[in-house]
Amino acid sequence: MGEPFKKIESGEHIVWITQPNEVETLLKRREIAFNVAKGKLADSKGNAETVMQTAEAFGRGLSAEYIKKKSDGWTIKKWIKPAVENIFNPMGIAATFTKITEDEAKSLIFRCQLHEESNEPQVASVFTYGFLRGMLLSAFPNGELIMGSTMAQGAPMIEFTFKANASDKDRFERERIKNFFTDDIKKPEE
Amino acid sequence: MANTLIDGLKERISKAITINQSVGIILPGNNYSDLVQALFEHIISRPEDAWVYVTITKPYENLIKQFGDLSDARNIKFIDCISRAAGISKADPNCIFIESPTMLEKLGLEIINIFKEVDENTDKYLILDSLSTLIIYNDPEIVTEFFYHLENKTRARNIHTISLAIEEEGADKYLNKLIYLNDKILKVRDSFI
Repeated sequence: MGEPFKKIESGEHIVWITQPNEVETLLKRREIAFNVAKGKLADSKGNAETVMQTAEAFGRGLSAEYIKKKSDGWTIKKWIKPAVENIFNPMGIAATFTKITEDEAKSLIFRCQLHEESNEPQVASVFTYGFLRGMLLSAFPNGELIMGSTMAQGAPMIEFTFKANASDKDRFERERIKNFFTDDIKKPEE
Repeated sequence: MANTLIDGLKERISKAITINQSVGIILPGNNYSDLVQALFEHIISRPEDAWVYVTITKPYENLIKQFGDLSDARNIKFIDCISRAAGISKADPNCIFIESPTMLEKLGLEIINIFKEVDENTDKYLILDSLSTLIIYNDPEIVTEFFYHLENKTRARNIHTISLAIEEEGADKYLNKLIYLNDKILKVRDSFI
């Protein structure tokens, strides 16, 4: 991989670490999108679907603007580099990629301002999942984003697997995430 | 609920580390925040002891932001093995930054150097956060070798160690092998606290 990552090698063991370098315009755009999502959540009396949809639209918009389509088609390996360089790093997301192949990438996010500074970590989790999913599906319409552990539940890292082609089980992931956080998302006071 | 959990963890850690030279703590990922909070509160409550906290899991800056400001505490020094690898270059007099989580020999030297400065009669404690994260960045065989050496060095200098291991599905066989090198194992489960 090139510059957006630092390659860390130990014997035959290789991982790649993003190089966060905050860019104010992107941080501001994320903040605005997150606030819009929170506003819609309040208007809908706690419907997490509104957060998911807003975040996915934000992710698709970022993808259209910052990730130029490859004329010979995407693979995860080709896609991950501009995604990290133009979106992850400027948003200050520090993550370790433990696997990058043509079909799949696995990441562990260990620093994410949105999660660590938000008073609503559950909403931040749905938003982060949604915007990364929007980005991924812009390049891989048959793909899916799988979420493992999350900081909102007390874990030190957020685990994501980016898949170019979803299995039948993977196709339920969006609903699983939405339902998982729905009970934890505070309903606005009536 | 969180406070009960943290108090329970503090009590268990305090008892275990007083009696044993080395304690391994196996915990589900979701209990990480509670455990680190408990460790930090325990450290603050023991200002007469000397502590070194090695973080490979989260950058020092984020640990301090999330779990309370220990940067002014005189009885703790941090070693951060992850910030520099992620290009995070903030400096702090209370923290030593190591360029990469793969520089295990340097990590071992820095740990021993910090404790060399500590008075002989002071109780010394080392926290390694965590063995499971070390395995993400390093060949497991190399981590095993490093941990054997570290345990030998710390025992020889009467330094108590607390090593964390975050459990995941299909836990690495090396992790199990490593954590059981400790004198005492604490398994964190909500129902046991």
